[in-house]
Amino acid sequence: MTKHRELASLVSNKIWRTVVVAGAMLATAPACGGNKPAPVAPAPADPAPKSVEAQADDGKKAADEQAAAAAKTAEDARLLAEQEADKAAKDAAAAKEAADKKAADDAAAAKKRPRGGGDRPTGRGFILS
Amino acid sequence: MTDDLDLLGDVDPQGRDEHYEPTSPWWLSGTPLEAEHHRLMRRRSVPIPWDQSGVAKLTDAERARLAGTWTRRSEAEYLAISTFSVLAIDLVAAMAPADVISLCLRAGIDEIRHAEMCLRMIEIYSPPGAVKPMPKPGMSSLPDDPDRPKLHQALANTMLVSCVSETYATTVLSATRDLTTDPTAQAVLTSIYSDEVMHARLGWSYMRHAIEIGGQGVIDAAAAMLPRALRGVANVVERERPEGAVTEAVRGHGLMTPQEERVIYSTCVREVLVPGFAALGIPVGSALEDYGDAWAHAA
Ligand SMILES: [Fe+2]
Ligand SMILES: [Fe+2]
Repeated sequence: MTKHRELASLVSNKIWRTVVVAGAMLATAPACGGNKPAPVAPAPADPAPKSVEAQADDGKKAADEQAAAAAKTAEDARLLAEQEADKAAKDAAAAKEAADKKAADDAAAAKKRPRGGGDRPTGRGFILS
Repeated sequence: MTDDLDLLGDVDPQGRDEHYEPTSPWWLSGTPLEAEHHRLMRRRSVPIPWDQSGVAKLTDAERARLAGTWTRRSEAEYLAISTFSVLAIDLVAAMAPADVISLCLRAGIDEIRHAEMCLRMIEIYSPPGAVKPMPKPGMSSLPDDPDRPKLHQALANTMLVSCVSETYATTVLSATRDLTTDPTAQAVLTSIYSDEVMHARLGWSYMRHAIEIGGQGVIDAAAAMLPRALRGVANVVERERPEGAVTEAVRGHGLMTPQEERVIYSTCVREVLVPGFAALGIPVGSALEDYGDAWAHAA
């Protein structure tokens, strides 16, 4: 076993130099400025989606504007305007429903990434025996 | 670069295997994609002398023992294909540098080649007339938390896969190679090992880069992942082994005892992983105590 311990240390020393020191550039101090160009900070992969609430507000605003416009029309157009406002409200409700569904689908899709199961973490390593 | 040459000896990391032959035709699609696949597989840095295996000198029990281990190895290599694929998704999401992403994707291809070589070793060692062990396909279970910053997830999973698992794989493969005398097994282990060096180094490089751009948040994410990553490899080392004795002849074909593996892992934690993370400013918690002498000699 003593010989094996020596082998373990010998090999570890080799890996320390060739993998860790070389990979992490440990011969140079981290984050010390130098000539390295400033790295670009990572931006989110997708623009932040509008929240469900914001989308609902948008729909309500559209409906309100249409309702206000209808109120300005002459008395003889009142029935027609009411019908239009009613339709706009219905459209807004439908749009909200669609937006809600899309947001729910997107959220579900964001959680569904390709991953396997397993109830305990399993490292890889190289199986020896 | 000098270290590379020391470590890899006469292995040319970008070399091609002019003696390449398809190793598992039954695992191919039967379409024109096969030709391009073979071109990728030919990027094997070590020629494998398949016909020089000393398998004929082994008993059936020894062959079965080796076939059992190569089955486990093929499962681990197959699992690593999806591990690097999923890690690549995390790296892309975090807008990792192009060289990190390309090496990660290439690592996935390397793992296909490793799995193929392991399958061929199962065929070589399975005793004549015996039912060949069937590898169980596995799928990566890398942690996924869509709510955390993408840089933190990419970094933490890179630590798990590359800095810890692949660095240990490199260490244990190097030690195993040293006691392997069979020419075919030696070449297969060397071939896998020469790829693993880069799989491991990619993690340490990305860790350095991520700390430089992400600062304390990245260090905290790495520190939180460390115990989980170390335990993950320990679970593999502690696992039950296939039935059968590890005789001297079996050792010559590239097997260690579980006791010896524990010493390698414990030494790797103490002399490679902990100093590496500490040098990058990552707190290592109780890693040294958890995998110290008591753990190394518990089996
Ligand atoms: Fe591998
Ligand atoms: Fe690997």
